[in-house]
Amino acid sequence: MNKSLATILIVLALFLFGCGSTQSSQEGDINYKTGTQGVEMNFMDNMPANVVYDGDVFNIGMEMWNRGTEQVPDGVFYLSGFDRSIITAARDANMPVRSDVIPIPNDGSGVQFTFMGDSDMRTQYNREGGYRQYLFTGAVVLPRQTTRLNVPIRVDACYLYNTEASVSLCLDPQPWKTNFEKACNAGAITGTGSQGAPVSISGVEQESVAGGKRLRLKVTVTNSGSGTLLDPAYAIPNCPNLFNPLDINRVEVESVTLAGNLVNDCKPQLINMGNSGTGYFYCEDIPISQQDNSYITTLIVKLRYGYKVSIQKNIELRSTGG
Amino acid sequence: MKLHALLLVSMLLFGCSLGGETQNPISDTNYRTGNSGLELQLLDGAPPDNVYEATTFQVGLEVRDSGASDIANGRLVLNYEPDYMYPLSQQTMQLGLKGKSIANPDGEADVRFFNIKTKNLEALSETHKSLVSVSACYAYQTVASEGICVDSDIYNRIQDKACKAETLQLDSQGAPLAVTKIEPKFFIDDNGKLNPSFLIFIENKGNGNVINKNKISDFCSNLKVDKDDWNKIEVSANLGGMPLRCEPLPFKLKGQNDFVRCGLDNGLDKPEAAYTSVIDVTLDYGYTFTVSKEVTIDKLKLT
Repeated sequence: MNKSLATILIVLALFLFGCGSTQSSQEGDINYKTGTQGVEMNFMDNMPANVVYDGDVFNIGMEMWNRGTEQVPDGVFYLSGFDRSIITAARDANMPVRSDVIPIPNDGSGVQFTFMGDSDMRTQYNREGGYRQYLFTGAVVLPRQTTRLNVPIRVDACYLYNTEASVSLCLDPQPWKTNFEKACNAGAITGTGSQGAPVSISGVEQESVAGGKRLRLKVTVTNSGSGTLLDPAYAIPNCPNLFNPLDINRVEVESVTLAGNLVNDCKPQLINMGNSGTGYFYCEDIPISQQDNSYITTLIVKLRYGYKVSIQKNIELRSTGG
Repeated sequence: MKLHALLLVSMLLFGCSLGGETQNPISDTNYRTGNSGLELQLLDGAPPDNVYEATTFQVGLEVRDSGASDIANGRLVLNYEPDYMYPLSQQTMQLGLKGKSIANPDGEADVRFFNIKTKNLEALSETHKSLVSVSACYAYQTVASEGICVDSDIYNRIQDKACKAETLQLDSQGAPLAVTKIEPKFFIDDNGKLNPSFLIFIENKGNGNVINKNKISDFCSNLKVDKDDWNKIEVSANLGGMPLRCEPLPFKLKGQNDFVRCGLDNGLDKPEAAYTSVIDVTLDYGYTFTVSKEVTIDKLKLT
């Protein structure tokens, strides 16, 4: 009886653990170029604390990730939201002086950052992306009459980013011929998904012109992230709040290639995405290879833009009643 | 076993009750609330409803500073009909009390007495109703200290920002004069500097009258007072520690809801982002009010 029971248990265990150990997709096979994230930030736990007292030196800790699949060649962030005569630059007297602990900039100046290299972005071998940590110290100096004050601690970050989308496109050099089976159906492509960046190519429409010898494309671009799109020429110098309306919701078309050939006639080069977060650009007069049947080729679109993200935490400053 | 069970239950009961109740931290109490400053309360029976002629009685008062500021040189003055009574002790008393604080959450209180003697009634009078009152005059201060948004985005082009410049609606600050509203206005001057200005609305929410704080003794005396010394308030304000210039000064409160305009003379370097600062408004003024009671003087009939 005991032997039978033991045998049953072993078999069950084999089923359970054996079935559960199916190998997941091998490293390198994962389509990592998905997602709508770029640079993300958050405050570290209790840094800042919810309540800080007059005369205290306190820390503001911030974590920053590059969760997208592109590098950040240039970025800057600013601390704001509070009067710098009330929360001033300070060093914690109990902490040894460290170069990575920064007194809150008294002049409101920004802190530069970049994410460069494979270890600093999401790749097929690095699923987490890049990571940074920043620690600021400040001191509270409440005016004499003030017993309590609610103050926002805000971080605005602006950075340059890219989206590179690779879309499979079916081209038909003889669209009028319908008397044979086509290798693929040329038509609009929607739901192209995300490409590991906050801005994505969300659709491609095509139109055959000049008797099938040339192509016209309409590409839909969408801001799928939660931040604000910026003209890349002004994203860094005008950060965080000096943008005029023409600087906002702009995406630059950096390059378009079809079947390995650069497409020259795409307009507009600087897309106005509007408040809806969706914009379009058109490529005209693209020569296509004249084959006997429809065929699949690759359209590669590279976009360049600035992006602004923000985080904010409200804290309470209290006097000590002295 | 039973003892263990009892111990366990006790631990659960007291453990839960100790951890379950959240308490306000000590520094959470705000004493700058309410519309009271000095409060006077006539004591029961002092004065009594009826007194006989040629007898002594007392006017007793509980005095309390229920506001947030201290009273240093306050005055109490006894008012009476000199044809029918006279004070046996001083007619005027000095007053000093401390306002609400952690040590004294209700404000400091005291009890004061005036001794009065009635005169004989006229031969043909059986009774006479006479009003006995006590007037208080004191210097007080209202302090309003509030967070306010300094925002250079005067056209509201930026939607997502740390704060938005909005009118502050306030209630009371632990004094009879209250700052009820602060309206911020910002504009960019020719030098590109941000000029903040604030309309500060003031209301008399107490039960008395505002007087010039430098004429306290005149008001609580027989001296003539200038009509210009009524409703006179000294106003000062700061933004983030920087003094604001207020006008009109001296400020005279007209009606229940009046305002003073305060601005920063040299402007601010235009900030790149909106931020929260502190605006402090201090009102210095005198205040006066009266409590009274009708006393009936009865003829003393000797049998």
